[in-house]
Amino acid sequence: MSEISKIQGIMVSIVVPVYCGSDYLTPLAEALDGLRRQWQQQQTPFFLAEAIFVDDAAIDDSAARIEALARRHDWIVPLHLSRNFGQHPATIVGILHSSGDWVVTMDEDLQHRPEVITQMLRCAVLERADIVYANPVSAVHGAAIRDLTSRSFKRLMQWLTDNPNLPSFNSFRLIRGPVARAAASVCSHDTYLDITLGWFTQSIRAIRVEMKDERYMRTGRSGYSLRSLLSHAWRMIFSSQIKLLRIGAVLGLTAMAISVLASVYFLAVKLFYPADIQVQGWTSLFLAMMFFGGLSAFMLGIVLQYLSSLVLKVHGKPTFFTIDRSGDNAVRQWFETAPDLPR
Amino acid sequence: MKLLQIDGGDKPVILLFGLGLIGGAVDRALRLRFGARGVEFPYDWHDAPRRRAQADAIAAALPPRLPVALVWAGGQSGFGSDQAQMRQETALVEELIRMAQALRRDRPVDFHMISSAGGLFESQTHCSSATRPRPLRAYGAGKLAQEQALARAEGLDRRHVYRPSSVYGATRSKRVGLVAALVANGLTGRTTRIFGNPNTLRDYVLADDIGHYIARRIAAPEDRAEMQVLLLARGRPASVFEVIERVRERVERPLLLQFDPHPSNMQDMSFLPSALPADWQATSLVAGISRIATMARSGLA
Repeated sequence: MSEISKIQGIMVSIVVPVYCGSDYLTPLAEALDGLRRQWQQQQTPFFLAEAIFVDDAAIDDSAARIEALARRHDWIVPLHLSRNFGQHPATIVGILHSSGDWVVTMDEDLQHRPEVITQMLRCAVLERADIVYANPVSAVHGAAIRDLTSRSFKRLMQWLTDNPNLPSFNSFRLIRGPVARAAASVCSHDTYLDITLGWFTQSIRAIRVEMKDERYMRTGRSGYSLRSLLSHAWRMIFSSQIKLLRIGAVLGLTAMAISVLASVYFLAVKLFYPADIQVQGWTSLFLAMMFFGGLSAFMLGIVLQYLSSLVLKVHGKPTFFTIDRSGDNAVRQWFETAPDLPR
Repeated sequence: MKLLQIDGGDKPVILLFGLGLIGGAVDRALRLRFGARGVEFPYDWHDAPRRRAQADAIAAALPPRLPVALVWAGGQSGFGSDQAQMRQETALVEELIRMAQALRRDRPVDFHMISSAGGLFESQTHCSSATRPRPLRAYGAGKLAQEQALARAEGLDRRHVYRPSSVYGATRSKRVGLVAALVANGLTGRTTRIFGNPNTLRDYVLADDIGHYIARRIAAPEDRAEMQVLLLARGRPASVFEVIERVRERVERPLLLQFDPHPSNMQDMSFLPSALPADWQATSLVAGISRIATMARSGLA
């Protein structure tokens, strides 16, 4: 925590990317204002300092709605992107405009309820976490196939990327401010934000909360189309070191080793039991193919690993990052002594 | 100091005191955007009797009847200045205010003062237009005292106080900010010593933006003659880490860095966009860094 926090308290920034949520913006702003007032009444050591609404070239009248809200509340910061860049870039822009000690990212459609933020903050300071994801206790969409697809996809990606936190990934996150801004600083257009956040901290937790995609359940329309989900998947793969590369290299090395051992064995057979070999030349041809195939696969695996390292370097994977968590003490003490807060 | 004159009509004659990063930017903007022509005059900050004679010479050089805009963009002080140094600087400002009041007897006189948002709001984040300055060190208290001296000054026409946040820009002076130091050292392979930590938040603003804005207000002043305090920031904070990343991208060379283990200047500062003047536009950090890097590469900075 910076000195500022000791004087002003812990500041929380909210970042909301907006694409087609015009109907939800006013209720969301009211809910956030309610949370602000509630924290003030409870004299918490943390404050909701700003809510950054990022208009990602919204297809409805969200832009005008955001401007109207910003005129009404000076703690609402309106940002308008010049074109539709997508949810992650919009979130990144919002994070880079924030200056809170903690940054909350959430969807605009009230699927993510602002009152959960207190629970997330509690979890973060009590468990010394840098990131807290809110995960749904039950199916979000109320559509079995869609929820199953979502879960299966996350499991597949977890296996592919070897990232234990991947099933927790959710756009409703509480992130320590410096971690959020550092990760957002290195994100390129094709980097998956949550993967990048994992480069800066391993202290990641998830809490289970009630969460329903009311929009999807009511209209059958989700903020995410199939295309945007595929785009998410692609960015996730592109930002991670894929396990398949290592598996390919190991398979190649294994094939090479088997071919060498088999060569020794069949050479011995040729020398000591020549009559056992029925077809002349086939064995040596097969072993040569196996050896050079394995060698090629192994070398390709190494080259791809190098390439992967370079890509991660270009994506901004840091060598190190320092963090100061001492500012959590005041909030932790407050949570420990506050009897009537949501747990 | 520099006396500048914009051609045509009853445009004000500008007395520009201080030709550092911001003063230089104001000078450039007045010359390039408004076709001002300038003459330099000596003005000794350290020798009072000599300074009085020099002030008389400056007053004598003013064309008759034309309005005057006196710009205070100077100061020998920095963040580390002590109370005595700040008192000395404030005395110099008060002297200039008296000079402006003396000139006001036979012509309209505006006073433009460059203050410092960094000094006034150190350690305060999410500052809005209602946020009151709470200086933590002598530098900030001194800047506040200078603003109060101008607020008390009677008889002047427009009085404008500009509060720029963390200013960066191309300069040949020794006092360069983080951005210019990172760019210059990155290009020459030298180590940059950083007196904050990577997570320190600041609101970086390009000196040329400030120069253009102030020059516009000097050359085309508003009708209302009143005291105005204007915050000149971007309304978008950036961490030192982000600045380093952006410079690394632009310079395309490894940056050698040394962080001060006991930084004296690591307080966060940020300003809400709603606190900024409506007619103020700031260059983005990426574009600003690109400009500094281009100038450094071409030997202009």
